[in-house]
Amino acid sequence: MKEQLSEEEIGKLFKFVKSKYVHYIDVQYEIVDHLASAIEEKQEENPSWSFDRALREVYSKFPITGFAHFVAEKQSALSKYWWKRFLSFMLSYMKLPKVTIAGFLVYFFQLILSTGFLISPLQLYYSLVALSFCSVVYRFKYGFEFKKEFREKYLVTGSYLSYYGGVFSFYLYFPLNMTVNTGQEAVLLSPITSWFMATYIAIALLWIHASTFVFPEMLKQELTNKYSHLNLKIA
Amino acid sequence: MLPKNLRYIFTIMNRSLLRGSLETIVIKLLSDNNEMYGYEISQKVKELTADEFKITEGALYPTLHKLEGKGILECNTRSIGNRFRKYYSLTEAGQTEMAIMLQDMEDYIKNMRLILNPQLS
Repeated sequence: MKEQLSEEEIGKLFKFVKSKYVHYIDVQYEIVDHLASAIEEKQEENPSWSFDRALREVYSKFPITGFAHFVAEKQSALSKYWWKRFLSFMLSYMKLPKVTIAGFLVYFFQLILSTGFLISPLQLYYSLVALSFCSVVYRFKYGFEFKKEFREKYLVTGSYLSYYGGVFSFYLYFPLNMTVNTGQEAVLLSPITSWFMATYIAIALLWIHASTFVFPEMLKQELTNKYSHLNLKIA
Repeated sequence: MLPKNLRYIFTIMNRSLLRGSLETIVIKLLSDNNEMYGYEISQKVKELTADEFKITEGALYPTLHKLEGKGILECNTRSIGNRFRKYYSLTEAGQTEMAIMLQDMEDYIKNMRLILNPQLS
């Protein structure tokens, strides 16, 4: 039976990994376990080897770039992972039964933009900006995405949050903004333009909803199921 | 015994062949063993091939992360004494992918045999 490394040696491995520019705590855990397993194996084969000698031997098997490639690949894999999950949620609105909600939204916004039904396009624009602002305030209250540690110390949350900024771009670059910002109160759009913008607004609205309520739930589940050892809590 | 430079060329060729087959190897091992951790996978390959195939850390982990990103693998982390270990297993999509990959690999090997030993066909 292989003898396990001591608490102190595991601590040394964490320091070693950190000194090799692996700053993400979740990635450090993964590398430390690999190094520890390999060191235990080496020491079993060569009982006279010290911890430091076994570590040198094990680290020499990594490429010349050290752990950089490891971190970069993990970063890219996690980015893809989150993007896939976000996209698959958004695409679920293209299928039954959710497509009815998306269809209704597009139709409703198109009516407002082309006929001024219920409210004017300008009022619609301000409502959407207000809604986005409320979303940010709501998320700020729960706070996790504005905490530095969530952005910088953990790759799983950092890669998740890198997509999160998307919610801002939706209203900062609203094409509607360019149209309504002409100083006129009610600018009604042509049918083709109104369908295009109604679709855009519907997507933006769904994205705001998802990033406020759905995606944080996804992250919460991910942290509970796969990263419980990190003790990362989001409200 | 092969001359040194020829041996070197064969080593390089083996490495690139191995790199190209790594995804299939990982998926097959995980399908046979239900769940495994990174170091265990590299040791298992060494053991099964009597030290012929040596998977380096620089190749194994990017492959695991790539497959995880594609949704073929999933992982969960558990405590083992004084540290935590990440175990990988196949997702449902991974099971389907495995069948396709193994079939592709078998077809590839069959066709390579036909090219390398045409008299046997």
